[in-house]
Amino acid sequence: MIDLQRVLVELDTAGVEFIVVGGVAATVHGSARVTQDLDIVYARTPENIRRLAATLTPWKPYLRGAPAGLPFRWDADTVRQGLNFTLTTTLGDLDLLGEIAGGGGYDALLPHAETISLFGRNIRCLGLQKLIAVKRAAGRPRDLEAIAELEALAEEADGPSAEDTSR
Amino acid sequence: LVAPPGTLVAASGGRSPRPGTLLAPTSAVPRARFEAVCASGSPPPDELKPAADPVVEAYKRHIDRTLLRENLKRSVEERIENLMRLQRFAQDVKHAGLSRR
Repeated sequence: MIDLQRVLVELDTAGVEFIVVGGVAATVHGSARVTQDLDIVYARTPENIRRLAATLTPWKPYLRGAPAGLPFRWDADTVRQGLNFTLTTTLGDLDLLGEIAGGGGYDALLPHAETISLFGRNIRCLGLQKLIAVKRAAGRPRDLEAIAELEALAEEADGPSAEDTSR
Repeated sequence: LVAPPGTLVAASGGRSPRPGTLLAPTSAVPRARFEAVCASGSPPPDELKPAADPVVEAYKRHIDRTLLRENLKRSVEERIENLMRLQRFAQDVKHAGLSRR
């Protein structure tokens, strides 16, 4: 479980450039599925990496699933030398993605992002069609049910069919 | 054709493409147009449709659309707050189960 409000507000306050993707983005678009973590794609500029690393430091990020005690240093150098990080923090599980399959990095995803008003902030979230596209591109069997729901949401946005409304 | 991993499949003339893959443009779809659509990320025109994945279609038949419609009536903030409530509930249930072991 992740403290979504605090994480999103603090990232925004720090001026971190990011786009919400994954299960939370699906919730934004109306998904009824429950996700326990937050996935974001972050801009790989030196300044953004510095802000991101500094914002997360108080949350004691650690590699999710790694054995306790494994040496892990969290700072801007670590982020710069890596790309995608699946982290556990004191605020919950957080996935930091430099790139995603079928979508690329922050700059490539930006035209497909929507700005949503959340907790009094303007937060960028991946648009529904692109979210479907990247989930399809990821090709993970566990995503198939989520893709079906997202496509159903896209169909609902176009207007429910007579067959569906008769259910 | 080298194309970004993707979402669009050219009309395949009866073949069964692996869902989510890109095929080479057909004679009906000039290469330049095919590549432009792939690069734009815009909704595909009729001749460039996403491949229907039979597994996804099967799942889709069992989705409770009334639940989705109720969600769509909520604001984005209400959807996120509802998710946070469900996360807390799932956590409580998990802890309750663990404490009984």
